Amino acid sequence: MTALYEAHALGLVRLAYVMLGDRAAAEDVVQEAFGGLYRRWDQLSDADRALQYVRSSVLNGCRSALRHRRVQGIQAVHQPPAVSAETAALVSEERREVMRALRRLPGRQREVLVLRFYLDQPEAAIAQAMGISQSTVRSTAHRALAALGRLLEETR
Amino acid sequence: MNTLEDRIRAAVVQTAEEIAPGSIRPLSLQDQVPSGRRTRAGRAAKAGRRGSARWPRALIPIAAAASVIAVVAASLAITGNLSEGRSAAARAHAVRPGTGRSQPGKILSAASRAALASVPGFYVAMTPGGMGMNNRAQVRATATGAVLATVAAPAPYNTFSWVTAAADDRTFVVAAQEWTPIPPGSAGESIEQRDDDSPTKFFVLHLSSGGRTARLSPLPIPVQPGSVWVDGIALSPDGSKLAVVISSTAAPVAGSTGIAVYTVATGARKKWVWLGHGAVIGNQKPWGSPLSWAADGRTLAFQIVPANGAIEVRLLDTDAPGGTMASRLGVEWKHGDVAGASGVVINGGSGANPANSLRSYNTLITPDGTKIVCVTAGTTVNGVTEFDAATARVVSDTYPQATDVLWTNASGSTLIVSNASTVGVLTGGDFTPLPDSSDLGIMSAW
Repeated sequence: MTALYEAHALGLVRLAYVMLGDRAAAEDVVQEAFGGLYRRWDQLSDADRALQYVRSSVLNGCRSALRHRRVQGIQAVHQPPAVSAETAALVSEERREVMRALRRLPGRQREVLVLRFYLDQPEAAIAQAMGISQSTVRSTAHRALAALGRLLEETR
Repeated sequence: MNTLEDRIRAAVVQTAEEIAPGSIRPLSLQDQVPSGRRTRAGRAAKAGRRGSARWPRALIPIAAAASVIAVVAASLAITGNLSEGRSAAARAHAVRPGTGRSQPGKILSAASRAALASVPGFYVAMTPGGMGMNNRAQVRATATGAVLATVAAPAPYNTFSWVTAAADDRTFVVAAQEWTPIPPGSAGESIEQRDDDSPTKFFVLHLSSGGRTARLSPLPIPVQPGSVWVDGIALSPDGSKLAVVISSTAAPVAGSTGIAVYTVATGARKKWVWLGHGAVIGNQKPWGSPLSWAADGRTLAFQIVPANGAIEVRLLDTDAPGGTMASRLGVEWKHGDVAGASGVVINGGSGANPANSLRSYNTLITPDGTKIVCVTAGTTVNGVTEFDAATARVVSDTYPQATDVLWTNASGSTLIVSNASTVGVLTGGDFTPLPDSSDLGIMSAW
């Protein structure tokens, strides 16, 4: 369990952070996912699939957090660390715009885009992680990109 | 970095890399009990939290059919009628000042009894069924917290996603969906997951005079297809109209948002599509509603989140023809952005109100139309803040522990609000917790 955590915690926290925009919440979600894995460890039919299980748990935890957390302000607006260089600031603003738009998408659309563009997962893996069909992954991604493009266009 | 895909990839990767290697806190498995080693006490505690140990299973009803559903659950020795329900406040728990928690068995003060009697006698709360699903709706007595009836989501639906109430203390509307359980995975787990794409069906939940029986009946409103997400609902005070925040993945514009107002009796619809900047927002959490009605049953308050992250509260005349909402409508409120950098502005003017930011999405208009009530977390206002609807001036600012405002009386003098641990009545700045409300981490409506 510890080895699994040490090997994958960073990636999973980063995944949750992209989804939630809140580091503390992201770490909580990952801790809870590993806690759930620990409680069910004896029931695992295949320990090699533990990562798959815990990743699904993290996604579920993010959904739950997004649905249930009590936000400070209207949105958990992503606020990256301050940067000094103007160039970096421009890059940061571009990123903020994209992340802001991403977080305004419905949960499933956001998940599909994050799994596709952050984890570079193929459709089959996304479908398995989200418990949906590959055709639903495709259609959701299509809708998500259209919606995101429109949201970004509005900021111009 | 020309394509949208490239922009997304760069943004998510750069964002993720803000979490530096080695900065993650170590794994903590304290209080975790591995499978096969659960204790009887642990199982009992878990069952107690879910409520199954509190009420005999035989008292929990099961929905009979998807058409007209009548489900009656047991009355639990509480009220026989509304007035009795309110007078039960005298038997409810007393408040320990300063803690926000109730003390079972103590007699309430006159002030607490009065507070609990000043709000609707019944409310409907969703009960969690695991992984965010709410597969039952409970009818509860506000004054005592007693569960008077329990209604299951009728097949094929298996979860309630929204609830809203009329002003008569008897009529509620719930939205039901069929969420898709993930089949047992390779790890042997059965994980349930919300299916955002599943259709939504609306039902009316009507209580008998004493709240002992709850009849759930389908409304003639067409089922919302999976391509339309329902992001919040609000029933008009007389129960004749249902306002719905919708987010469409289809025509006219993918990703567009808007408001549909249905005539409950016929299912007839008016629809306004937001094509301006930002989006009409719905609930992002289980409390309250992003929509609220004035007592005239015509004026609907809704919220817009522009791209800059601020929030605007606007009023919609629902008697007007449907269409687009690209132009400004009615009174416009702009709350400061989440950083609390700007002030409240009315009608686009330069408002002189203090910097504020909203703590929750559920900004309400008082039924008399005189105030806008919200929970702020700003530098000069922080708590339950009421703004004069005509002047945008702050009328009152109390109870900084509040997290959401869930119900208001006609003038805003009595509210139901939540704090971090419970729900209660706020009147004159005094908070009276509702009995047995600490488990209400779920959606409720009065």
